[in-house]
Amino acid sequence: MNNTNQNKLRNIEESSQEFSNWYFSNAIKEIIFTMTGMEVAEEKATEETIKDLKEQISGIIMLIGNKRIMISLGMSTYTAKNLVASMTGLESGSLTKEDLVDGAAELANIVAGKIKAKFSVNGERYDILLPYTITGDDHSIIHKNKSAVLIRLYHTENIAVIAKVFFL
Amino acid sequence: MDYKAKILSVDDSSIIRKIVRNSVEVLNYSLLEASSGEEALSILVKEHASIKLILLDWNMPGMNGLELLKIIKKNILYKNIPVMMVTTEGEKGNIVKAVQAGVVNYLLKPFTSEELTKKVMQCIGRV
Repeated sequence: MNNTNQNKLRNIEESSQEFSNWYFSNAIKEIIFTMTGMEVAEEKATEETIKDLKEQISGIIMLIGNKRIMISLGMSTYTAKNLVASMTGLESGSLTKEDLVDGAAELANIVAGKIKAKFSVNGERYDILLPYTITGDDHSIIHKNKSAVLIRLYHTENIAVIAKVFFL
Repeated sequence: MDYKAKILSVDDSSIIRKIVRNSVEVLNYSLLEASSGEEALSILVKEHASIKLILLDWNMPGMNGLELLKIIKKNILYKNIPVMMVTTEGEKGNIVKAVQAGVVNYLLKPFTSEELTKKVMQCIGRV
């Protein structure tokens, strides 16, 4: 590996460490708790350990600044119903597919906002693009040859959210 | 005819508008909803006289919240309607920009319904 690639790898490793130390340990747990009242447990995960979990709805957002960061929050329809019902106070049976899609996107948007604010304290400026959603049974997100540098599972008895970070 | 005072929520997220609706209705206001700045301006043309507060997101497709805020504050019919930002935009420099453009309050997402209710009451002078 040449020096340039070694530096790139070191930067990604340092950035991953930064995320794991604060962003993913606090931001997502805090957001889910504030919006739904649910206290989630967090686990480190890999593509292998989450392969049996259904990802039917993914809220996705990108931050553009010193780094280009993509964050996805993947979940089953069942999890999305429980999350959105808790966020809105509506019966889960009354929620439409649009509600679930919008809820996943908005959660990703709020996560990005937290991360942007955290970066700005360190003098790093980021722009947040509008969130979007991918739906479909067992879909996967692949950005060229970039795999997720961080994967975390946030769960209670009723929900399981797979959070992934990609440095593009 | 409905003479209940109104609050206008401008947010491209329907889920956020539903959360806002719950809090606003508890306070006995009715909610008008706009999913974009452009839609908000159409509503303001017809309803400005009965709107007591505008809750405004920042990042939206098309016109963003700050752009809409500046238009509202330049319009003689709308400029006295208080505006509160309800947004993920927590960068200090941008909060200052919003305050300079005329927002009376600022609520960062995520928020609890209690936080939203309290801020709305502050904006409409009920606390």
